[in-house]
Amino acid sequence: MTLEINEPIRVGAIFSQRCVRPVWFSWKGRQIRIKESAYSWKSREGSAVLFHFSVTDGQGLYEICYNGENLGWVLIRATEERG
Amino acid sequence: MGIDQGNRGARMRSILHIDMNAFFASVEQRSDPSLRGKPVAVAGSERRGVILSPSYEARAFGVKTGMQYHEAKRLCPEITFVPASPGKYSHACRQLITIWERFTPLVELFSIDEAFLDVTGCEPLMGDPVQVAVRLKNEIWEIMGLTCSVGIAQNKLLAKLGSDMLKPDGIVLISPDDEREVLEDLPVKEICGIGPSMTRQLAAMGIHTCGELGRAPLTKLSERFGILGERLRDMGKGIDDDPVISRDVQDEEDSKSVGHSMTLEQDCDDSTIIQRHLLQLCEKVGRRMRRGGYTGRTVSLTIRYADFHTFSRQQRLPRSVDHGLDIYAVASSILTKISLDQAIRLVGVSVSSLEKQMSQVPLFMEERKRKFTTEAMDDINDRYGDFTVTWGTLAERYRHERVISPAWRPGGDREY
Repeated sequence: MTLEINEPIRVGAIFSQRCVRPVWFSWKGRQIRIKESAYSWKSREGSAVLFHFSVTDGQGLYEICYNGENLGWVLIRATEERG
Repeated sequence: MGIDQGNRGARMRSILHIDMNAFFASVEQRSDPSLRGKPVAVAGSERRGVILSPSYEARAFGVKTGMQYHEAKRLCPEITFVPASPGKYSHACRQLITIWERFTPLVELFSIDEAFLDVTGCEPLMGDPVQVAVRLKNEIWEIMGLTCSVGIAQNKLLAKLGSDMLKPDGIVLISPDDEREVLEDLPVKEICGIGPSMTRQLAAMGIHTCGELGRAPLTKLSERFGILGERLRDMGKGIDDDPVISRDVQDEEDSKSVGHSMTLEQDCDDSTIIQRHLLQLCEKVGRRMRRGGYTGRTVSLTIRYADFHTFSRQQRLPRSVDHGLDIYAVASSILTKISLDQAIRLVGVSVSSLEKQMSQVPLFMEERKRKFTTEAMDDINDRYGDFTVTWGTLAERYRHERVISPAWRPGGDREY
């Protein structure tokens, strides 16, 4: 079951050579370490470019998003472990 | 000995048709490691809608595109439904185009997951067309982790046929020497462009295979299908002179209509809610028309009932429009004239009879105010995203946008 979250989050990420690699994020008071960044893609909202990352901590799947204009991160959705 | 090409197509071409395998489902499987190797179906939403793209693991159970949820679940109880993410697929498509355009500038996007590539003359640089296809498939796999089927032939018609012949992950070359044999017993419905209705009409004439179609007298075909008759006979013979049209030329071609539709979260017979959906659709259509510099004279409303019965009504206007409220006024009046027999499943609005850059400069104060207000709203929505500023009625608008249109083109006026 996928839950739409849309909450601002704190993210630890590495920015290098025009690439962004999220390493961890904080949500609900706990730090989630990213085991695999499975997929990434770009979209637009108005004039802002959004960088989406589909990441997993080995249990759940999360879509987090970096807004290149306001430099903020948002947890878009979370998917519980699929049976 | 190849098939008679007459005097046409004197230059031998090398055309590739690339068909991404279960594109949406494959992208979702890349995106979620827990889905890899499992039966998955991308659908309009997690609760409702039809299957847009089943993975090959799901297809093995008989799950097909267009099937409804319960049908897919019955065939494959362990199937996982994933809501569609248009932004993800359009981004993947842009990545594919970047890869394809490394091989040739002549790339014609046929849909979001299919393209024709003209690699004629690339041999000295990249090897023969089969070698090009192998390299291309390898690059797509290495960069994106996706597979595709490739058809290779001397024209688009046969290349498309070839890519359908070996799925998934295949390469099929239909050389001029093989064309006659491939087509002879091939059912006409296998040819791209011959749909179920045409197949029935041909069957009524005793034509079932491409071989029979190619040999059919032109007079007989023209009598039945008019100017299409000659085209049909050529299709039966595997003749197709259509060039691969590069993307920059495609982008310059004018649209014939601008439209949007939405499948509702649940069937609805509440006229207030339906009217609100209609206003939202009209606003979206108006925004896209203004972005593309179009105005239009014909407004069409499409309704699909809960039992999937679908119909459209249209109205032609004395003057061109591009404003959401003008479109809504017409669509709404069409809707009020319809006596709805059932709850509605889908509603759609489109504007056709388009003209480019033909909007009249407003002369009167009221019209000028409206034009300036609309421009200001468009500027704000361009800057901060669609519906940032909109009508109060749309505060409770429908936010579920899970369908990617076949009309989508990278760089077009439809954004995801």
